[in-house]
Amino acid sequence: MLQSNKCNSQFVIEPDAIQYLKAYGINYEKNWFIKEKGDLEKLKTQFEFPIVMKIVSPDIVHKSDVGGVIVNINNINEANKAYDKIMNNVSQNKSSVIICGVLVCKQADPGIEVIVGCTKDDVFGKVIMFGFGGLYVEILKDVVYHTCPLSEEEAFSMLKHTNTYNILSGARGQAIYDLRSLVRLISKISELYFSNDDISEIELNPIRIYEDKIVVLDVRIIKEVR
Amino acid sequence: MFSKIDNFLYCNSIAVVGASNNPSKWGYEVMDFLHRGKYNGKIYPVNKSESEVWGLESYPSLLKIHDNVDIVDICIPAKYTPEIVKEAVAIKAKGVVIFSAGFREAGEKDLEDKIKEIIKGTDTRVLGPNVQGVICPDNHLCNNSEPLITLSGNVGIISQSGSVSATIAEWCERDNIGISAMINLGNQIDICETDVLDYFLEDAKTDVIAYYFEGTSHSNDFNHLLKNKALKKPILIIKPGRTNMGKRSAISHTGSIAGNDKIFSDVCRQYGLINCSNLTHFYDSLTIFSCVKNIGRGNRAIVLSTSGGVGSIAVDELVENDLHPVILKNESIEKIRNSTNSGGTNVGIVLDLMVPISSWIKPVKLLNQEMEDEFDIYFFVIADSLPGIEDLIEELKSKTKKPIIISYTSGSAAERAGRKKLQQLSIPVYSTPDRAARALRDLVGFAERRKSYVTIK
Repeated sequence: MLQSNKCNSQFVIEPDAIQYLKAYGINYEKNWFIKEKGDLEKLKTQFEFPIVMKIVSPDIVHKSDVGGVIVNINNINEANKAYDKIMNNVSQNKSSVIICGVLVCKQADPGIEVIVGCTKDDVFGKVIMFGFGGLYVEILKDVVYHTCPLSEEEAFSMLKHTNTYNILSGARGQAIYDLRSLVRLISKISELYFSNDDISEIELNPIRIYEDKIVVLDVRIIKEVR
Repeated sequence: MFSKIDNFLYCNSIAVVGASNNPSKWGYEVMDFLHRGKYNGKIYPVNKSESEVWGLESYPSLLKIHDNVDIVDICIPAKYTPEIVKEAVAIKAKGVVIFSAGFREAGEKDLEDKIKEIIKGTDTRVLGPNVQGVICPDNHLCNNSEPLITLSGNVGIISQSGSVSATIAEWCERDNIGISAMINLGNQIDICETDVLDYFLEDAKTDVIAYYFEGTSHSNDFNHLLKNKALKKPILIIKPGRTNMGKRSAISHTGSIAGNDKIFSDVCRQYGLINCSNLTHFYDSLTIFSCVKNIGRGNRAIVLSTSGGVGSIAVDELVENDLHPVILKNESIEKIRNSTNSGGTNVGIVLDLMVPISSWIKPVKLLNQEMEDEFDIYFFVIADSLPGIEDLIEELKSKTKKPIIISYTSGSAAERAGRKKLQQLSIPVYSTPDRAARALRDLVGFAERRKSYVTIK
């Protein structure tokens, strides 16, 4: 079982959550975990600009709400400024939070965003959800739930119950998206959730889907309160 | 294989602990229903203070009964039950039905734990506590309090509420629908919903399972069973709490975007369970699955009606329920038109055959003998009194393998008598076309899903 080695709490910080995904063969966007500002200079030659920077804190689940995310960062100067800005935003919006650092990610190309999440249902226990993701998830509510775990075939038949599937499978002559990778991801996440009883919720949102690949852009894992 | 549930249903002898001549006691009611159900196994009343109960010798203790006892009923206060269960184990009873209340639901979980400990590793299984009992008409067994059910058939009823199952079972009995068994679950300290559901899925007498469901504490076993076997038979499920959004975590969208009911209905669809929106739907669907033996023949319905108006309403209902009202081939239409002398006969998407019944005989014969490859289902829409329809249907039923569904909207004396007769023939009859169409959708939808199940297997 994977263990967080720092900032132990109910909310698993994103760099640790990414390790969970990695263990199940799920790709997160290329990223670098910066624990202090000086690391930016050290790693600057590795960064693939433009980049996104996100606050890493066990106390902050909704990072954007506290100004903890900055996008479209094009060079190291902007990155240094963004770092200060994030720290400033967070300290203004939230007092006394543990800050573990900043996650630097390669900024992904535009694509369609979907959501995959896991939660516990009173009746059926562990369930997984798939649907249209990003900003409009709550407005469109185009989601479907199944019980965990799911094989890839089962994940595929689950997808078909959403309108999102009709878009992804090439509606009106548009491109066909990488459903194969999506189905594999859903199956793997359902396995991850099913076999880790210490996890209470998982959410991957957004997952950006292209014609030839999918990339996870954000992951949240919530542990059971013991 | 004789399963642990069979032991409760097909028992040859029952000891009733707490059996009494006093009508205010639970043990009186249980004796009453055993007698009224005409149970023909042995009954052993156990009561320390009465020497004779219901004309039978009463025993001071289970240990004093020297014959085999299959089932022990417990109808005495909760606090004495562990002792009785111990005795039931000692006499090697196969099962114990604990009618008594006053356990977990009253804060007495310790008593339940005690009983669990007593039966651990033994061959004695426990149903309950706080249970309404079991019914198995095939064995003349009404080992319960209300209701009295004697008609044997193909509906298996599982319930976590005595009143819901009692109502459904009594409607069944009224409408000539027999049950294979009815099992109430109570607090499920031993035998649980997964055991009972599995039993009905395997039971050769059961064709449809009607399940009033409140929840499960064994979601993994339950999911496993559903994933592997749910498409073996239609499982109709009704669950209360549809409007209760529940206290979901608001941390993620996954938990907050949908209420519990969205998850419930999605998972029902995943497994192929028929999630009934209300008791009417539940019972209507039960009726069609119990009556119609040949399912799985497509969704094309031929609509025959006494009325263009109600016939047209029926067509809308069918379409809205994913069914396909059929228009016959031109030559078939011509044949039907020529077969009847009734001037008003309209042959379109609805075969409007008017009244009286004499104008129906030739068209129905033609449909049956020459045109059955054009449709899958007979959908009769009777909107006026149509004496004689029951004989026509009886004749048709003997000649066709296709499902016959009837909406009989009249309300006249002829309708009431006709309905009774049709129910005797095991024909599903509904009061409105929407109810008939919804039940038919469940039937056709299940057949579709099962096709894929059979292919996978």
